[in-house]
Amino acid sequence: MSVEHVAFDFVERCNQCRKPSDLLNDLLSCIRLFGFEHLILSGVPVANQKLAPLVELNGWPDGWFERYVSEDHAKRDGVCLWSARSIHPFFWNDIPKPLLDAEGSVRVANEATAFGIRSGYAVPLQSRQHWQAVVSMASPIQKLELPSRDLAAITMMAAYAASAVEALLFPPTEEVMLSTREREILQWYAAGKSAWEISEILSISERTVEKHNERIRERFEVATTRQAVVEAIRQREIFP
Amino acid sequence: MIEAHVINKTNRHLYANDFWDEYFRLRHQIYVIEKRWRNGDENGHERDEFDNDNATYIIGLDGSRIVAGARLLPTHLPNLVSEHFAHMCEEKGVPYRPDWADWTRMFVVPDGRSSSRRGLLTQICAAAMQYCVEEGISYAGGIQELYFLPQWSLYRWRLVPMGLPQKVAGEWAIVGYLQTDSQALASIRRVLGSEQDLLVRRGLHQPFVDHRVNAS
Repeated sequence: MSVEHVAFDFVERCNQCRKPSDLLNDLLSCIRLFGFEHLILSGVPVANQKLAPLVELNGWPDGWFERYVSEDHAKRDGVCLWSARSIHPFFWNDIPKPLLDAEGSVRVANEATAFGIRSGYAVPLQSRQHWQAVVSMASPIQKLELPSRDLAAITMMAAYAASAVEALLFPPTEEVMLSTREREILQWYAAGKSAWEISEILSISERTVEKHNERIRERFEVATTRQAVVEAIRQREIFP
Repeated sequence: MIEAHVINKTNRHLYANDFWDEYFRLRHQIYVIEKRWRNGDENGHERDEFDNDNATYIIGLDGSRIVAGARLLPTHLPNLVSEHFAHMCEEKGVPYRPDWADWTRMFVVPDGRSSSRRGLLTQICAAAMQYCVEEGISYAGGIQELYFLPQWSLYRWRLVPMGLPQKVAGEWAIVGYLQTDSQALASIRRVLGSEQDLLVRRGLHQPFVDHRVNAS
């Protein structure tokens, strides 16, 4: 079977798929043709988020995922850290040197070899649920070299799989949006203004500013204005 | 909600020069300054060879301000894919059909972007889809960044790939087309939480699909 067949047939099946677990097994069997053994599809943790709740497809080897989570490796693993910053697909070995060679990152890489993971390729993708999503594929081969068509096929399959899973897991729901005024007020909070200052700037009462702020915090389900600012930036409701 | 004006060669004179100046300036802002895909012209505008009589613009207004846009051309006439990215359609071939649209220059102004599912991006997509359905267009799409593929799944839209993705100016891109039908329109309207007619058609209108051309 040609590379194209594998990839385009997989895309077809993505459209029919009803269960994320089926998609995981299907994608695993496809990427094994190219030298990969394991994969994970996950939201990328940022700002102290934990990895586990963000995982959408877990095809890591038995024991490795549990260890990764219990050790909180997401905080030090260069691949994970770079997944939050890059929008371009990358080979794990090609992440910037300071991340690759950091002590914590080397430790994670060494521990992974015990689970048959020696190299990998990651495809970051836009996500509405998370900061961004990443499909990370692992190989037992130290120096994995792929012809460009194979790489194109894998990149395409990863992108289609992530899209299909997001569609299955997150059906459209009622959504509360910030109003223009609330967004404006939060933008001023982000700029370091106090409620009183904002009330002066917008020529409204301080009480009204506080009221808006209350609703904003409810909307993000957070306790403080500072958390609301962080959440709003993460969800791209306001721009720093 | 935006008002999306449908503008092509038969009604474009109903829009003032200031309107077009603002439109092409915004494109300059996005495609020249922000994305660095293109060079601007001496007027601070961004235009390409497909801003011609065959183009239909869907331009989203919030009050009198332009906040979003999209451009459609029939694929049996020269379009971005046929002229520049035909090599990315190796698997399924380059579309050449009056009822398949090349969908390009879709943008939302920087301060109008949010992660909201009902934001301007969804609104301009819903307007474009409504136009496609009303005009009898079967598929719409073109070259796009692979990174943004999950956007379509939010609307339950499926992108049919024409070939394997390739790197274009450092970004993985793919040529693909979305089926444009009443089901696709219904599902984006569910996301939007509104059945509202978003299109404004002023003056005479040239139908998009030229039925004199044989589909091949």
